Amino acid sequence: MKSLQALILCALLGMTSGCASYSPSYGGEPEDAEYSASQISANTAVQNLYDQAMNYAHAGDYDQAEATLERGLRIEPNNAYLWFELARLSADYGNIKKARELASRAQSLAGGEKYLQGQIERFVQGL
Amino acid sequence: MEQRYKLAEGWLDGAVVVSVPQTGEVAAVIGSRRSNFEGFNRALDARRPIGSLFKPAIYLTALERPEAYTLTSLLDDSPLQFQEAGMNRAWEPQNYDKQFHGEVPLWLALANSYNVSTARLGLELGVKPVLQTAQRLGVEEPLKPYAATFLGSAELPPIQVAQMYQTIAAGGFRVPLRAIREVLTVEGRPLKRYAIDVQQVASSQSVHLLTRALQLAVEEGTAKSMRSTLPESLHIAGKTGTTDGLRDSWFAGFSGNYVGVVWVGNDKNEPTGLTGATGAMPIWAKMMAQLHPAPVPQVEPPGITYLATHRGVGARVSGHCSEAVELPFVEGSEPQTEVGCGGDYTTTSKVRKWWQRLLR
Repeated sequence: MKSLQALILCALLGMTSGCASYSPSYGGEPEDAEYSASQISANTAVQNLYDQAMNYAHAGDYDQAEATLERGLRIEPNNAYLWFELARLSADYGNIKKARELASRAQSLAGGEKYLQGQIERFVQGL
Repeated sequence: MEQRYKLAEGWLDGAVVVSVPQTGEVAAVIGSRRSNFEGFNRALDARRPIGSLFKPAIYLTALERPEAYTLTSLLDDSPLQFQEAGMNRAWEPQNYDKQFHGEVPLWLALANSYNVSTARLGLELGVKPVLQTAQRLGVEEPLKPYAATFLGSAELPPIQVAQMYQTIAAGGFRVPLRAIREVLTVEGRPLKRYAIDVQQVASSQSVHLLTRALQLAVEEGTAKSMRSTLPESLHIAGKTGTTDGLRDSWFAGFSGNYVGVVWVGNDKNEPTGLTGATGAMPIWAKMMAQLHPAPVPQVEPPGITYLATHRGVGARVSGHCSEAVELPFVEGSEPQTEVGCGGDYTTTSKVRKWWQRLLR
């Protein structure tokens, strides 16, 4: 049922933005977020900002989600998880080119994080 | 500085741009020695020849071709005369020390900012690809399609130099410099956002090699006097720039958390008596020391191998050797020949060379 909804949403969006090959990351339940805040950073301020950003994203407020992730990056500019979430947001906006660039940036900073590296790779392939 | 170099009071002016490498956020723009001066902003509007600050664009163009160039490729630093269409007379670049240095490893030519070998490298690569690299890194001003541009006849405002070095500092990812994050309504809701934009314009590997050469410029090249202000453990990467007649003194470089450009010169374009290392660099270093600099991360991208090489000969060297310098190579492009600490070829290398000649 969920996949049918996604398909219909995609078909509708596809008329204007061409999202045919990508299904939104934040369209479903909050548990779609694959990382807990403590996994992405040891810094509590960054953890809080990440949680806030995910809440904004799930509420459909992409502008605030993006602004909040950028606040996180001001504290930890080399945090690959934050860059990757920005990439996922861009893909949800339908900005595939930007999503691809942000994902490359995340990948360049993800050294040693095997799971994240694989996830970024699959994300880029799915764009 | 004016007192030290016996210059008239008020002779020098300057400009500074500081930004965050990863996000492109501008931390400071100083457009005059009088910080409250509201008028001509030299950091944004002054177009000055950038001298050797242009060189990384040439070396990056070379290092993006690992099958042809590595940090140990030997460059020819012997006299050069070049006649170019559209130029009245032959171009004869000189080194700052008025000497020629024979064959020099590529990293050393950049670290010591040799003009002649750099010009020859640029000519080998071609004017167009080199200028395209500068534009990829973020130079927006039109660049004259002459080889003289290689040695810094390009006139750029400090903010564009900052953009160029920002891309290098961010590992080949260009992030347009931004001074405004967002415009808010009275209720605090965003009216207009200026979001992070990022574009990979050079491979992480080639930029890693270039960064190592720029770190060596600070460790032992033209910027080595920086160590009196900033510890070597910060692994600062940077480049000095000096123009004809000592009119412009530049330094551009980065720590792990800030990229900065400093220009010192005279508004009437008269000589300052300062090189990049005596004028702009000490100012840059003192400023960086106050910004709580983080070290440049010593993280290598995938596909990079480090090897000990001989500083004079550019071949690999084994064992303990005071002439050894550790350099990164794109896998598959490592030097095959090996020398002893004195720079003489080992028997294995001689046999390999003989065998290669036989196969040719």
